[in-house]
Amino acid sequence: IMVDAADYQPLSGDAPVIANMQEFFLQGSVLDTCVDKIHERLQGLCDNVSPEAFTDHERTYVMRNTTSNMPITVKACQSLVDKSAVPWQIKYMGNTDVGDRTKSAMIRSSVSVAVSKDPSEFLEDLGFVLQFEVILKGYFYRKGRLKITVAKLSGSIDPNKHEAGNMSHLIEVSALASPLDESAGDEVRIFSQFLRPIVFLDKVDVRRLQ
Amino acid sequence: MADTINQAKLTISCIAQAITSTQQLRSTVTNVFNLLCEGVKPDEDHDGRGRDRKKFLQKFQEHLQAVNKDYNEVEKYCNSMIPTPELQVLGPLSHLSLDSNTDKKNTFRDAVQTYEWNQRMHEYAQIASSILLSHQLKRSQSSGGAILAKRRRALPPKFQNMSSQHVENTLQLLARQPADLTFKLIKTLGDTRILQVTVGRVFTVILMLRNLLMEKVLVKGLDEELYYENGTIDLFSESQFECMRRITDHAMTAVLQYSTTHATQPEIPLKYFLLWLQSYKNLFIDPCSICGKHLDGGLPPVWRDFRNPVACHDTCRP
Amino acid sequence: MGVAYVSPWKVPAGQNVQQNIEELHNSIEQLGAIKTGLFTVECESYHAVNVANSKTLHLIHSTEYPASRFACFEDGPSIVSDVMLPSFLSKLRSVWQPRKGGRIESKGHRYELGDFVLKTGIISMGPSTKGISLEVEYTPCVYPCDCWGIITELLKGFVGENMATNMPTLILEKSKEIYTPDITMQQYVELFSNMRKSNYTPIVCVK
Repeated sequence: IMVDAADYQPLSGDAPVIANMQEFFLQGSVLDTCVDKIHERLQGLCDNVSPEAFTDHERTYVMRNTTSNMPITVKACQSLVDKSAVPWQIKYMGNTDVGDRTKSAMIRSSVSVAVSKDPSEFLEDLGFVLQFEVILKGYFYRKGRLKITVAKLSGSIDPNKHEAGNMSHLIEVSALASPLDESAGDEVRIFSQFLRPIVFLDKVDVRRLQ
Repeated sequence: MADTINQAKLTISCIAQAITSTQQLRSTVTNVFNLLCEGVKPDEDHDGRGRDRKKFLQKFQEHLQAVNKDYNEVEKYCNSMIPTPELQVLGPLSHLSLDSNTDKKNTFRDAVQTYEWNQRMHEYAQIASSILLSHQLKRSQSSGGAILAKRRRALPPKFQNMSSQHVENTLQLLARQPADLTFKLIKTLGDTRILQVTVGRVFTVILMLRNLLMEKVLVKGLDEELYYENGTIDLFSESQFECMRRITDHAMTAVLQYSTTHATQPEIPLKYFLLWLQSYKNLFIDPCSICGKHLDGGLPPVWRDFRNPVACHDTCRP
Repeated sequence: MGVAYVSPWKVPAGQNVQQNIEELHNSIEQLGAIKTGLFTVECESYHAVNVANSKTLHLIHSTEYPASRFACFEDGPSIVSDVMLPSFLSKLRSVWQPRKGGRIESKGHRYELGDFVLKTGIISMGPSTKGISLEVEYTPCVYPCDCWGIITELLKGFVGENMATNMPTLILEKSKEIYTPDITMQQYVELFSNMRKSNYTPIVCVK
């Protein structure tokens, strides 16, 4: 059964039929000097709504998995722009599947839950351990079901200070869809090609980098 | 008005007669000129010139006499005409009466008739009001003309001509006095201010003030939404709680009560009202002072007397 | 959303649950309450496998808050979330798994009386009936310490004068703070946990 992301209605009460949604995504980075060009291009390509500025505090938690070597990763996000209006979020991040050449984008399963308060105590009780935290500051664009973020990553918790060494922005194009929906991956890849030659978004095998 | 109309009628008949006599005069004058042009026809039987001349003179004399007579007639009518006073009351409408074209339409006549009816109504109203004033029955406070006039004199100058600064100061002073009340000025629209008053840990009141005159009260639970989604304040949605709706009703009555009975100074009704609101601070804690219970039909004691505000059920009022 | 008190309802010896709940409905209707529908509170319990003496995590869903899920640890932090929480937990299934026979629910009628909401439910675990729950919610007030008198007076109206009037510890701890629905859910969790123990006797007495 194919279910579009739009079928998720938070007020209907029932969890979506396929809670098992996958995130198709591609990542890349661009030097700070080119970031204006990226913004210009994205404004032309994306839906005609003004880009949303965001500053997120993201904590990454991990828990040792009993059945496999890969740990379970969960992120807790809080928007620093409007703390009262946007709830905390916890996001399960599945292991990234880079796939073979036939796959257009990387895939990982993802479940986001909005929660009422700071979930750190809750996550610690579940057995998670805080691994690292970052501040993401940037802009968010959308085109249909695609989500595009251009953000500066910084390890310092003070949102006004940036690390001196970090001179690039992280760009991610992603779409949430059912795992059977190969077209979502193609959409992500085609959109990423529009951003060339300013930035090449590609599949990155994190395991090989380590 | 009736006089003017009658006079006008008289004048019109005079004019008509004068016109006829003027026409008469014209014809006699024409006769004179005709005689002067044509002369007298010579008698066929006689051809004596002396007799012709005599006849001509005689005719001429006759005609002139007729002219004289008619002229006197015209003069007589002219003198008899009274100069009509301008129809001042009708203003520019009176000029309409002079326009002969509009005679075909009845505008002027209708206007005059309307005016007459209006005049009559005015007279009757004056008579009625004098009768009513002489037989005053004080059924309610507002029925008497004298009291009405008094209140009119008392209220407007005090409540309307008030400097914004003065209102601001008074509100700040009032906000300091009652304990258990927290004030928040939400919005100012000219003279109108919207206040949010939180009573203890019980409820929130939205109070609309025009200067210091209370215009609307809305009582809502502490966890109820006071704003619409777009951020503007919601002045009209009732509370979802029955007890808050009851208190809203009582609060509106209290506003009327205090505004009418303590209207000597503008800030007094507001002050009394706030003290009355303060009596609700233990709404959920205090039982009814009459029956000693908390609940009556699922509702706490929601009523407070306006003079002695103690907890009381609606049905237990002393 | 106001202050709610959840308590068990004792089934006297010689009476079955069905008879007893009908009696309860009658006495509620005699107060003048109006039936306004049905309600369900479900609770699913999870535990961490391969961890000795693991804490229990309860996941609660109430029809009163259809878009929310409540999660709480026994004697631990609680959190309110949206409907995605069960699928989030299913992703952790290699560690956190539902307890066997950990599913318990209370299902029944919802009544309204003035600003009160009364809920009477039959508590069942799988096929077996465990007892009756009674929830009294007073909606306009948000501070438990203020409206406790009102709630107990209503309860006395059909429980009898000899009912226990002490505030449950769960409410007492936060009685001067604004009441939140997750305290209601914790009360249900506590009630369910007590019901699981077979030798449990309810506090509330029947008239």
